Amino acid sequence: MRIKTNILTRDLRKKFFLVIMFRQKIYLPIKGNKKVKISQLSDEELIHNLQKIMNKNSSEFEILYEELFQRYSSQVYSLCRYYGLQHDDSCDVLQETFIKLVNFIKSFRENSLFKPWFFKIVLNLVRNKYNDLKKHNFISIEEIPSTTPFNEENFDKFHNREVIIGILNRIPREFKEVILLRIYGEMKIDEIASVLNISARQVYNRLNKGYELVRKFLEKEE
Amino acid sequence: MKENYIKYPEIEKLLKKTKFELGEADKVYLFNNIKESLRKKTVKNVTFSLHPLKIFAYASVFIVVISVFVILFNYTVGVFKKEVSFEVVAGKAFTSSKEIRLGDTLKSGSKIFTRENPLEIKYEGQYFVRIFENTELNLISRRPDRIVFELMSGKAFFDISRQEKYECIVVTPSLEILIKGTSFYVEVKSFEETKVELIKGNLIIREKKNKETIELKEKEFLTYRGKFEKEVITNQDTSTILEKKALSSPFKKSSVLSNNVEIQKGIENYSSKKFEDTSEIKKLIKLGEAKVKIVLDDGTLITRKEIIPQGINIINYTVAGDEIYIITENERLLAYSLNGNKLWENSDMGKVSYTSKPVVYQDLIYIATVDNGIKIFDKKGRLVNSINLEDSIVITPWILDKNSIIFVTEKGELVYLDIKNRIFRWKLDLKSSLFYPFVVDKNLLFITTPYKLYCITVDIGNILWQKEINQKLTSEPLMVYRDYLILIGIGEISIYTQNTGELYKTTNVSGNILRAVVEKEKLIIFTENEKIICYSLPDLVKIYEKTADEKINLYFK
Repeated sequence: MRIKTNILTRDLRKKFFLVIMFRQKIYLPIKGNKKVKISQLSDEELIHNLQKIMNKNSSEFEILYEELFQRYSSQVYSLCRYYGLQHDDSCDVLQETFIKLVNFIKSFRENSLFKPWFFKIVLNLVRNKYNDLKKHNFISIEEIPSTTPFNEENFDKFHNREVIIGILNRIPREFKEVILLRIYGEMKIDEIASVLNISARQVYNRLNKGYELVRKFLEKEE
Repeated sequence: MKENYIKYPEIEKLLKKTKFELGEADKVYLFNNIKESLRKKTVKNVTFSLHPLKIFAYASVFIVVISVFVILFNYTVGVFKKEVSFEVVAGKAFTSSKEIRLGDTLKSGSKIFTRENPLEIKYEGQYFVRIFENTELNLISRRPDRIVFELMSGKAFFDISRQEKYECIVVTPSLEILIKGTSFYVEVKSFEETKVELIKGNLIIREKKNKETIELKEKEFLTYRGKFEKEVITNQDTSTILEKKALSSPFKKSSVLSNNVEIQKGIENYSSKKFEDTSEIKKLIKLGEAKVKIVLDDGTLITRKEIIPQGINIINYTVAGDEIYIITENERLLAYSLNGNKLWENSDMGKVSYTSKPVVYQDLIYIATVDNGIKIFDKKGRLVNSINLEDSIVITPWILDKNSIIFVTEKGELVYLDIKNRIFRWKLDLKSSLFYPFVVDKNLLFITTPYKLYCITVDIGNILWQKEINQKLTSEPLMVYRDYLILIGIGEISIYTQNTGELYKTTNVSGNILRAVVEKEKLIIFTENEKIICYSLPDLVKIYEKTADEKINLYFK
């Protein structure tokens, strides 16, 4: 399952580049009679177009679907990694998320927002995966390397993600999930509230408490 | 909630810098994987992750739903309907394309026309239908449990044993008759005139035109001529109105007589009402003379020519009322009146044993044949029914009633046959190959082999008692008198009690006995040395002994 960047062949890169190029040129007759670029479509418009296409193997479906994948694959991946999953497991969750998205695409309502609906799927799958792995003791919380002193400069320089992963895995889950949705899901307070079925105030409180804990851990490390 | 309420924006800013970026190659690889999964539909199968109990519950619900659907479908559309087929039990008829005979099956949609013969059909022991002569009847069945008989013209008898609900309907041009466990006659006289006679059970009759309904109860007779005219059958004896009208009806009833009793009745016809000892013998002899003239070869060429062609021997005969029925060696059944006139002749009979006599019961003549089972003729000589049996019958059968017959097969089995349902009620192996004609009296059957005398209950076929016998028997050795059984040996008469089989009386007779007749309180025997001896019954006290006319020998030869 795991594939490393160095295994990727040049041909594949070429192909992917062509696909991206091709995608940019696609126009769809939405927003009245005006043709717009796919990249200009909102998430909801993309989903509604996908809903209308019955044949999942058609090229039209593939293009729209890929656009959605491009927009959210990194976000989902980041969320998975900071939730405590390794690269392979994160990739699994990412795949599963996009497969589920196709399966449940009909359940997406017309006037609802895409992000909360989508991240509900993501969060459920991540939780399940995390719990499964934890049950079998496959989760190893990585220790923060004590040799790395914390400051903004170092942080920018080394991108020491493991430190953050370690910290996030030490704070309670409810705070962690709010932070992950906020930072890596790039969601607003209201959207997070919708995903977690809690009030905006609760999201706000959890977020601040979570940040405070992160801060404390960081200071501790420092 | 305003975004600027966040207390630690610097932490947020810091964390945003730590985002993972998925490499493009990884993205391509993952996206291809997803596409492949979607194509192959290798999505994790939800059903397998279900709890077994849930699967069981879903399966149960599914089965129930399917069952309900199938039942509803079956009742509404009738796709799975069983083919209804009626079995022809007796008689002859025609469909639009072919002739119907015994053993044929009639399927739903058949149109039956009878001509000079009636036809009997039945279906799974539930429906028995007799279609009389010159009748047109259609069988319609849309479901196996719902049958419609459409009687277009003529007459039919229906015996429907099903009780649960109205599942059988008889439709005539003017009426609809709903049946619920019933026996009844229907006769369509014309398009607007229908007659219904109910023997037992209940009927609901609906007028087609005005939808007026009437209920017919037991022994009621209904005539419909544009309106209902109901009357109660007052004649409670035996015959019913429609039965009387149907001259050839096998259901026409008369007094119940066995073959032996028929002979006695014949004797009575020729005897005076006041029975005197002196005239009795003469009259018996007179009857004997009459029979000799008609039936037996007494050497008188003229009379012989009149009746039976030369060289054809008589196998057996029976006298019933004013008629005599003769079975000849060339497999013919002949009927003569006692004054010597030939009434009719039938050649559909087949081979008959010398020990098997025609039996007359309720205006029907039953003949047990060697190869063709039991043949039933009416008094006009028409074959009305034929019961095919695997084994030959060599002894005269006993007719208990119109549906019950007892006979002995060649293998030595005593069999009680239910003609209506075509079943053997019981079979009894008496382990003998030779039997004498048996008699039935008050639910007891008496039968004798050369060495044993049996008493058997008729209803269940149990041997009530059995006796060893050490005497040679006459050709018809058993007779009943009140509660006694008379056993006629060649030189000895014995009387047993019926219920216990105890020997009550016995007496020796000089000279071989040819034949014995029970007449009122007396037993009259005819011996080989031309004697007529009369005994009182049951004590066997000799009343008189006389020498008979020579011709008596011919009668009993």
